[in-house]
Amino acid sequence: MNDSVMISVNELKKFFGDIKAVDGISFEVKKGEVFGLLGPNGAGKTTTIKLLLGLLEPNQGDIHVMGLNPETEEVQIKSRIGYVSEEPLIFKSLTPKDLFNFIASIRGLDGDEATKRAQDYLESLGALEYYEQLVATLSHGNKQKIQIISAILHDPDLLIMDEPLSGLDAKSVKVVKEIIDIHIENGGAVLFSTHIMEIAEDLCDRIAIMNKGKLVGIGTMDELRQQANTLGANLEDVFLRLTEQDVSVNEIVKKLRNSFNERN
Amino acid sequence: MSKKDLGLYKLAKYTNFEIVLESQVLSSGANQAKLLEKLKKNKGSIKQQAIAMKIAFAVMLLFIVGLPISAYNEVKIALSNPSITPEAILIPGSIIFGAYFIMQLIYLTMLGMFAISAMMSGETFRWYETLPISKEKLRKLGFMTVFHNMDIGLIIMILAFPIAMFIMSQNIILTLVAALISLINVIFSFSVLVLIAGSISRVL
Repeated sequence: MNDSVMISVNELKKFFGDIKAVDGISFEVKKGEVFGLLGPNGAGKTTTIKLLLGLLEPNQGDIHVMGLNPETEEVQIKSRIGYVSEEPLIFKSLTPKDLFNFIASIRGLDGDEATKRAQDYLESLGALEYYEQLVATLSHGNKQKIQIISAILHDPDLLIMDEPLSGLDAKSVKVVKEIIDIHIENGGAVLFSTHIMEIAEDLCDRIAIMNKGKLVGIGTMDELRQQANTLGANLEDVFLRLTEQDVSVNEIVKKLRNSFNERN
Repeated sequence: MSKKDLGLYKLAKYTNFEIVLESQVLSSGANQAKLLEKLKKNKGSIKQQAIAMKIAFAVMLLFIVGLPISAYNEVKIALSNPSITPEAILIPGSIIFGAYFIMQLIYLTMLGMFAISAMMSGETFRWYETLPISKEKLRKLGFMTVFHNMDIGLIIMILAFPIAMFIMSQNIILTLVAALISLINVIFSFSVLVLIAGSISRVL
């Protein structure tokens, strides 16, 4: 396998009974790129991420993460990736200080260096004041900041981020984007799942659009526009066209306007 | 910060804290804001409560040692009375000793269910699953969390009976027999608890 390929997914399938959560998708994520995974709710994005992390076993198809098999080499994979979920999964009964201590121990990091790095990140995200407060008592946004720092503390080769910016204020969003840029400049890769089109358009080098478990479009913004036959359109239009939601959305908007006009 | 590999027992300590927090949040109902305010004021309260809970479990398990002690006393008194037949001594004595072991099993299962019910959703382990820990180790961690939650209680269960017997009888052989019986009973009771937990929890 090519060394520059960080994630390789080939004809991947995952079924839950009759539900085809992931239905024969193939894509690659290369070093130095932010790869976006877009799709409506229930499209299969989170299932794909869980398969990459080795949390689920596929029914069919091949997955390689940094050349490793998530089914048999999940520990090696997890030691080289950072994962940020939509909901902060980190332990809430600890303070950020204890949490970062714990992460440093579990990932075998140098203690002082990890502390320094964690404090630097906390400062840049405006959360240093919460260093010794229980995570459970923090707001969703601040918990998310702690989770992001927890995922990058060991300087991973690959970042897998599932809606990482949810609940963050504008300044923190800017800082996280900067962190992603630095990560990419240093030869890392990012798999980025989001619902927010502007963020995907702004951050991602290539985007894959999922719908009902299948990939309905993949490529750069220009390539996606070509695939959707929507030259000059923004990602939202391309997304709606490729996920076949453009007609239904137009109908809903029309109905909503009619109803509003009738009332007034 | 230390650069060392965390053992299962140490990892279980963190899961135990999460279980205590989760159970508190769930039981607080509409008073979650008050609970969070309390936690904000005293960030050590989760650790304190985890320890307090262990001690409470241990005290509860200690109380039932009163059963075999009273049985031993009764038998001793009865033996000194020649008008009482051996059957009249053995049958109630056996029943009381049997009741003690059954009560140990019931108590352990009931108290262990606290940790197991909090673990049932698997929420506590979701973050662990994303860290470089093998699936095998995670499975053992579920078991170790139950153990961590009750370790003081289990030690009390093992030691209380033989110590009580030694104080009462001053007989080493009787003490050793009591220790062996106690150990076997604790292993059996804990295995039953793990089997019950395994069938209802996705973690174990």
